[in-house]
Amino acid sequence: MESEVVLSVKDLKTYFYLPHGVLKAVDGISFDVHAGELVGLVGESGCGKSITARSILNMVRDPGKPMGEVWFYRNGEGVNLLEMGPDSPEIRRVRGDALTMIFQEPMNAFSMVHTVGHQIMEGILLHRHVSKTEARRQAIQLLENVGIANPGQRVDEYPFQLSGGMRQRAMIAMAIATNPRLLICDEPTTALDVSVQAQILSLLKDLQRRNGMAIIFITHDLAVISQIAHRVIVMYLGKVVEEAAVREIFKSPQHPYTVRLMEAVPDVALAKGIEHGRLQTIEGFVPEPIDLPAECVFYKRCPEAFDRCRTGLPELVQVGPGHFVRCFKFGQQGRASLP
Amino acid sequence: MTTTTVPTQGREVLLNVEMLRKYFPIERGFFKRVVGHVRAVDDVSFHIYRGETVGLVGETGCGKTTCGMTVLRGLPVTAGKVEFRFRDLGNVDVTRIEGDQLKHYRREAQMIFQDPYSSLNPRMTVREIVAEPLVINRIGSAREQEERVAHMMKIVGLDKRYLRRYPHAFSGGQRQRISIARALVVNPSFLVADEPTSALDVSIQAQILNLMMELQEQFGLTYLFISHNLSVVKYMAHRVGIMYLGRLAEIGEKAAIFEAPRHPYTQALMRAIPIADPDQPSGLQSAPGEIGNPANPPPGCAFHPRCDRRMEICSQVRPELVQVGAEHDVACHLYGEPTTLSDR
Repeated sequence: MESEVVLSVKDLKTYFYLPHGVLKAVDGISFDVHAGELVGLVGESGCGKSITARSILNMVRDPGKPMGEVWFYRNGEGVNLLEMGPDSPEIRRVRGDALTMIFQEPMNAFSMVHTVGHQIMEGILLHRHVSKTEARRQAIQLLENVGIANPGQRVDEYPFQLSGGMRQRAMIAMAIATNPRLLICDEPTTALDVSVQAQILSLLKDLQRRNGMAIIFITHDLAVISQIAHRVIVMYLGKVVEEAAVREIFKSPQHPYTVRLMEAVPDVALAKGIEHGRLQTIEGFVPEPIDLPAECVFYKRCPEAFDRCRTGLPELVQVGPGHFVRCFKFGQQGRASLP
Repeated sequence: MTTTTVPTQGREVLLNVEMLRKYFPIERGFFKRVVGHVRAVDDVSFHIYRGETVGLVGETGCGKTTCGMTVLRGLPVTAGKVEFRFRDLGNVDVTRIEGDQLKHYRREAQMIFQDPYSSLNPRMTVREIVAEPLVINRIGSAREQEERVAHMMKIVGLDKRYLRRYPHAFSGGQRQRISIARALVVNPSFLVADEPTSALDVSIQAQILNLMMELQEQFGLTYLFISHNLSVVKYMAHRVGIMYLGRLAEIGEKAAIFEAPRHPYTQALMRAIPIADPDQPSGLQSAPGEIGNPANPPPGCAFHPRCDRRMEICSQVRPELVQVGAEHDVACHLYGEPTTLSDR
């Protein structure tokens, strides 16, 4: 992709130092996000996708600690967000301004005791030098832009007065108030009904087209990601196991985990015509990432595992244009040890 | 080959729901004056054949869970009939039964809940949880109960060693297996599964769906499968009912509902589901607006304010289910007898 890089994550490791061991929630992931691009971060519970988002924003709290580099580029210059203090004034100038986030459950992300308008205006007043009247005017305009009927009245209402779908719209209004370069969405439609989800997804796509912002979209829902992402990163146990353009990853997934994850989705399975057969399943479950043995993260559940997989972690190797897989089946590393 | 012309003929109806209604009173003030009703389930009729799975689909607040609960007598019924065909007693309207008969029904009809984290008592061991329905119903001796519980564990794919553990030691998928073991331990013929996999990851979801399918084949179970996830319902169900604001909008064979839906709401819902295929644009369109308030549903057809094909009659007359095909009924003024206002 020829457009400029907005975010560059380099060897990000977020470890939680717990009494019973070191939990490696995110363990050495790297990726870039370009302007106007929508990157999908997918994986099952516990794969580290949400912690990745929080680490990018440098919002991980004790006992967690993010290490590595998160470069955020604005007006041609980059800053390493992990070098700044989590509560420092420097990071606050970035967070909530050029870099914003929306969460899964908007009921918990909003303050209950302030009106929706007040909370949208807060960001505008903090980052833009405008009068209160102007901020209010902008807040009403934003609510209208995200498709809330009666914005002039809604602006003075409290979060509990809005329905789930409207709260998520208001959340989006808050997140785009400062016209960010990068928006991180953590499961933004998981708590919503399909018809509201469809409305929110098309709104996000539409806003992206208009504002040219980049989006990192975190979800466990492969169907949603197939419809909105340009590029998909699949995570498992804190590591990237596969990365490719959306069409590539859905049409020819390479990692044994990705292949099985896709086939566990009833749609995909039905499309392949296994109506009276059974869904693909992955035996066992995701282990807790504490004291993991030095082997491929997927080794214990992988039906294609061979001897080499037990001896160390495979590198992420390129298998096609922009297509990377972390598996010993590919590249020199695998071939060398195959019998 | 004369027996297979109409596949539904000759099949035994296990459960027949007629004009089922469940209203919840809205109370105000010190004296709990009733100021209105939430019409959670409003004159819903459908039937389930023995051995089949009927999927009940709809969005939040459409009444699908309440419908499942009232069918099981987990909630008292406001009006209507739920006829269940007992193996020994024949057809009985279970909305009216009490005492021993109700206990008997509870053995025949069991439930699997959505959240395996809150539906298992954290202070009971797996053995106690799975054995509880046997203990309450006084089925078998202690020894027989023990054997039955061990047998159930094997059926749902859990190791017997787990019997002494508490629910917190298990993952979501394993907990859901425990819930299924508990439901099946009394040898029921009918199960209501309320969003049994929506709290689970997709690979674990596949394990549970497969297990439910296998159990259905093995024991001839009948399922009422409640879900908001259409792709799961497409995989599990034989017939599908679509609910909207307490009413059944459409019910029919799975193929008809998914490939040729007739109700504008079903059509809108189908457009709203994302399909996991980047070459097939989907999931970004839906009916405008939001689902109405079941305490004060729109007059006439509840869907009319969001419908792109609404007519004058839609805001005035409530549409009833009309047959549009074999085992395919739709509640919409676009179909059936052309009723005009002057006829009424």
